Amino acid sequence: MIPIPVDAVPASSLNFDLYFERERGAAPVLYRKRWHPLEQADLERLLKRGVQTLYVPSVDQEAFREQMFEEVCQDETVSPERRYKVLRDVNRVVFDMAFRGRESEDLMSLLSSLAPQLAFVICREDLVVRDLFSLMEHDSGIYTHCVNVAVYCLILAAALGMTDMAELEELAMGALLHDIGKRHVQLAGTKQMSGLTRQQREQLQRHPTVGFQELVLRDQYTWAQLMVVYQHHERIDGQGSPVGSVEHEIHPWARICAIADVFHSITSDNAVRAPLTIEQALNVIDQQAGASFDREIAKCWNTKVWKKTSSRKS
Amino acid sequence: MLEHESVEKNELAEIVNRLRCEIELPPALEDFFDFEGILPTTADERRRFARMDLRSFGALEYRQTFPVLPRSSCWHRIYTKDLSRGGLCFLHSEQLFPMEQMHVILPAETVKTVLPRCERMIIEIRRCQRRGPRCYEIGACFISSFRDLAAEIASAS
Ligand SMILES: [Fe+2]
Ligand SMILES: [Fe+2]
Repeated sequence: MIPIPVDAVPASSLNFDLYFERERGAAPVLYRKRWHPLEQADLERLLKRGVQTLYVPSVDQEAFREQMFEEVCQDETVSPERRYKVLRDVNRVVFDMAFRGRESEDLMSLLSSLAPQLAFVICREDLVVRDLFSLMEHDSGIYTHCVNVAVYCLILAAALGMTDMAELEELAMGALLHDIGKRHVQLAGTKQMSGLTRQQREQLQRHPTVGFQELVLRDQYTWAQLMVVYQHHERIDGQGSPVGSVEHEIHPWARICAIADVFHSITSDNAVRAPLTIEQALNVIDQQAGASFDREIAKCWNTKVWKKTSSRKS
Repeated sequence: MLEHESVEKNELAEIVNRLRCEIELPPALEDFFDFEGILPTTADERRRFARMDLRSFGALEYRQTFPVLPRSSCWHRIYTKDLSRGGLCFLHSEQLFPMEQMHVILPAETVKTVLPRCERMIIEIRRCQRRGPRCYEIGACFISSFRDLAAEIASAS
């Protein structure tokens, strides 16, 4: 069950079930079946009774996220404050979803125990939430991608031995913002590179620089976070962009993010090509280790995180 | 470090000459100093000003622009590549980052034809590409004064 503050729940017909605690600490029971109209007066009554939290069942996470996206993105009459609250909850749920289903491995269960706390901290950071909100308004696909990449970065960093929570949070925030420069690229309808105008292509290629330029003026982000944004398309062999930096000139967090970024991009559905299977994607990472990716980090991702042995001779 | 105010025009060349060069030209740029002339503006470039090839030396003074990137104020010898009224392209031994703002001193005799009055300029970095282990090609534009980034940051947060 995902807890949602009552004041973040929209008064409308919802496409997910809602649960509540009849008594404090009791197991949540059904409050409203999906599509049953929910009115502002109902929510106010709950608050008057001291019920501050409603719950959405885990199976309805997707539906919840979808409806909340619509709620915040499409209704211009919603006040900024309310949009903000809603996004915060959606964010937590997306994060939670990204962690789920991977609990079988030891590492995954460790991380999923950290997930709610991490998600909470990230959502608490007003600035990150605001930036993510504008990204979500621009393109919810990029937003989902960023959240997933952040999760992969955390998993990979933990597998590499990063244990400090503050450091993990810092990395997660950087990763959440890694594609923030894309929010200025108008891609309306065109997802295929070949369908883009030259100007769009140039803008897209410049997104690490644009993102860096924007965040560096904020005085809120650390250099390591800025390097995640600026260097996540650099390659170990110097063939990346924007600078063509090599090996250790690329910040370790950017090297982590590069793998997480490509892995999520090639395994997720988009208009350009069909998603690769995990097995195929791991082969891509393996083949590109030492060229696109840091060899050690790629090895850790494949063998420690996904328990895959290399098909290549080293 | 050198005080700007005490630097007279005729001393500028002296400063540049005194600086040690830390740039290592990669094999692909071995003929870097071999040619000079006016670069035609190609059709796909939306440049406002014609560029002039300027294979020469200059000096770059570091200055801290971002709170998160410490830069101690000191001078470096750079190789200039080309120049226009709007900006400069040069080689430097270190990576610089977009929007960093610094001082640059350019050799007087060549600059005069392009930039009538000024030899010590303020630049803002636009792009930086690695050409070799100690060689970065950097594009920068001239700006009239340093922006008060501290104030911009304060108002943005
Ligand atoms: Fe990217
Ligand atoms: Fe990305």
